[in-house]
Amino acid sequence: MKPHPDTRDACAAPDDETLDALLRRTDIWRGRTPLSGDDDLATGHPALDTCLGGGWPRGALVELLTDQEGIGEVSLLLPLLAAQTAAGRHVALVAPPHIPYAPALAGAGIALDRVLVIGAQNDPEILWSLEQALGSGACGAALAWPGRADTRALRRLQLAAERGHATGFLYRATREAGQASPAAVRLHLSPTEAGLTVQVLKRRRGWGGSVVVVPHHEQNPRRLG
Amino acid sequence: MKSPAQTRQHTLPGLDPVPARIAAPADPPLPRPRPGPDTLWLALHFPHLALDLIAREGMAPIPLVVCDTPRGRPEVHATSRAARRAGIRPGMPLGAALGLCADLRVRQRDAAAEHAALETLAAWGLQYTDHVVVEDGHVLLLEVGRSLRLFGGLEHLRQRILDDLAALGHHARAGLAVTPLGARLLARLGITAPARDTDALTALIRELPVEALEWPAATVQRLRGMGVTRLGALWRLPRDGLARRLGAWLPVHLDRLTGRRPDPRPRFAPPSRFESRLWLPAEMADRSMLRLPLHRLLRELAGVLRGRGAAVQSLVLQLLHARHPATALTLGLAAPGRDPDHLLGLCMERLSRQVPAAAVTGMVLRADTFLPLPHRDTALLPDTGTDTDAWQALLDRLRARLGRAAVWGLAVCDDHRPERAWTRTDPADSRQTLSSAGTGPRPLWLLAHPLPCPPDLRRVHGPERIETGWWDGGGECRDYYVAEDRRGVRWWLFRERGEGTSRLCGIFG
Repeated sequence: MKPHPDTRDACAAPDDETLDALLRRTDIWRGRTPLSGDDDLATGHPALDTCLGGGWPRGALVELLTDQEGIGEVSLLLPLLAAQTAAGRHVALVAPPHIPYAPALAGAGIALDRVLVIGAQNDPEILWSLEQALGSGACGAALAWPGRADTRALRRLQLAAERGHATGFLYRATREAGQASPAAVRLHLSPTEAGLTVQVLKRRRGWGGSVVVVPHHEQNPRRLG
Repeated sequence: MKSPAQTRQHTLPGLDPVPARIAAPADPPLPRPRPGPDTLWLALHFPHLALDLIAREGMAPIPLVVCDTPRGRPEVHATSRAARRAGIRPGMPLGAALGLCADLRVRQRDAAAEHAALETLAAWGLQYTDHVVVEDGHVLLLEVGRSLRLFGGLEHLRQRILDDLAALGHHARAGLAVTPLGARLLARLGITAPARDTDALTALIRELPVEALEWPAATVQRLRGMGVTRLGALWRLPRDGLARRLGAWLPVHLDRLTGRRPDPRPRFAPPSRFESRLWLPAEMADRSMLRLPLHRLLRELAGVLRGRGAAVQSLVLQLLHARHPATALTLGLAAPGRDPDHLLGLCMERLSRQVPAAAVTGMVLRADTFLPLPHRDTALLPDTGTDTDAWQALLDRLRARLGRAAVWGLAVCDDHRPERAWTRTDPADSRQTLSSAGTGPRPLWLLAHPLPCPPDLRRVHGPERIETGWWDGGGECRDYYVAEDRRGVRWWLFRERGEGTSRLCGIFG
């Protein structure tokens, strides 16, 4: 098929000036070049920041999918939590699976007077509490361990996070990876010899698929003294 | 029998018909201490107070009467609009009213509750002025002259007060005049034109019948017999003659009405507690039906608190039932506050957790302790204060729904024993806690109960010996290790000295 004359001309002789002008434009996304959002929060792990295109998104949900606890899945967030409490915002833990151990949190540089533990008992209470914490505007980050959450509940949480400029972290089982989710970032966490393997399933301003290993010593610098 | 002068005055109101011979003694006797230029009284008359105590917002129009027994037999005291449409009028015997309307709801009048409601409204009125007077006959007087500028002028202030009252479910008539008696008179008669000086007041009330003044029936009868039917005629009569024939109080009352004589009124001193009661027109089993009446009570509370510059940190809400003892809900706040919308949210969350035992027939809101409203520090950065508010509001909401014990903060304790090295705190009081001393590795999760140790653990760190506590009976001597299992999970475990078995006590999450 013969191309349209105008199109052919443009393709055949791309004007250097035009190309430069296009390349200079900031509102055209050029595939894999990462766009850093102003609203991103550093994860504390440079490799992970690159994978996520800047860091944890503010005002959004992050899903952390793992079937195994004790692999450093919470330690991954300690730099963020420390930064948030240092910035004067609060951090909420909704229905944590065990007792959050204050000396370890304090050791990671988190201001304990800005940590809130919410002992919600069942799924509706957990989701409600998380929504309250995210939407309140007082919390910079909220972590939750819900049993089940359908897409509608997740959307409510996403809206609450946008409203309160907070980042919500949901720990969920890996079988939920198939469920559609409004979360901005979905990560699959698994243990390896070297540390914690983070596989990006979904992220903002880019494609998932990248894998990064966060080494043990980096997760919690003071952990092993 | 009528004198010619009075007849002329009656027929030609525009002229001054009174012969100078008669008017002369009435004018000079007292110097005229006119009220200060900025004194202005707003009288609020609540003609349907008995009915206002029954919450009707959001309800279909129902025929409702409040009955009273003034002469030994029950008769209708007040009627709702639907009842009036059925032909029921105040003063009618109750039996006749029931005959007119089969599904009429009847409630007994409670004069004490009406008086209590009026006093609550007086405390509520202190948010507009510092001088409020409670009067008989369901009238409140507010001295608003000095509040006009703050509230944006007379018309704004009056409209705002009436709107706020309507939001509380009260229907009031307002009268504005320079004297308390004048304002009361205008309010009772529903005359909305303000009388901002004595001349305007006399012009307004000159033509009113003498019955308007709430004087004893015998006095009014005698005035009628003297041919005095209008107020304008009354104050042209000789004062000493009036005093002699009808009592010395009458000219004094007239002088106070027109502002020739001062009429000081004692200020209402509000109690430092709040209790308000509201009846529901029918039993309500649905929680959402309680929302509007509850909001009304909370708004009343907020007005009272604003008048006192106060706030509350705990509230008691009693839900009354027909055949059960009342359900009492106690509500605590993270910080003193008075925002009615926030309080309503908390109450509704609380009601979702603590369901009342039976259908609700009424509610009582009580606040026993008033606290000063916390000062807002004017911070350099504007969002610091709102962040504190948001934090406390969040705590309130969480606690209202989940219970006080379900929400806590964390702190480090000065103890080497790991299970005693932390404690729960009240997140509402933000105190800096101890920072942990340099210790060995600590896990993010502590297990509530130690678990038996799985096989095939690889040691990562340890031992860290902790031997302490011998002085308080909780002595221990343990070696703590960090170990990793085959799946890559890191555990914290300890071995009692002299024992061979290890137990897991924490997870490095």
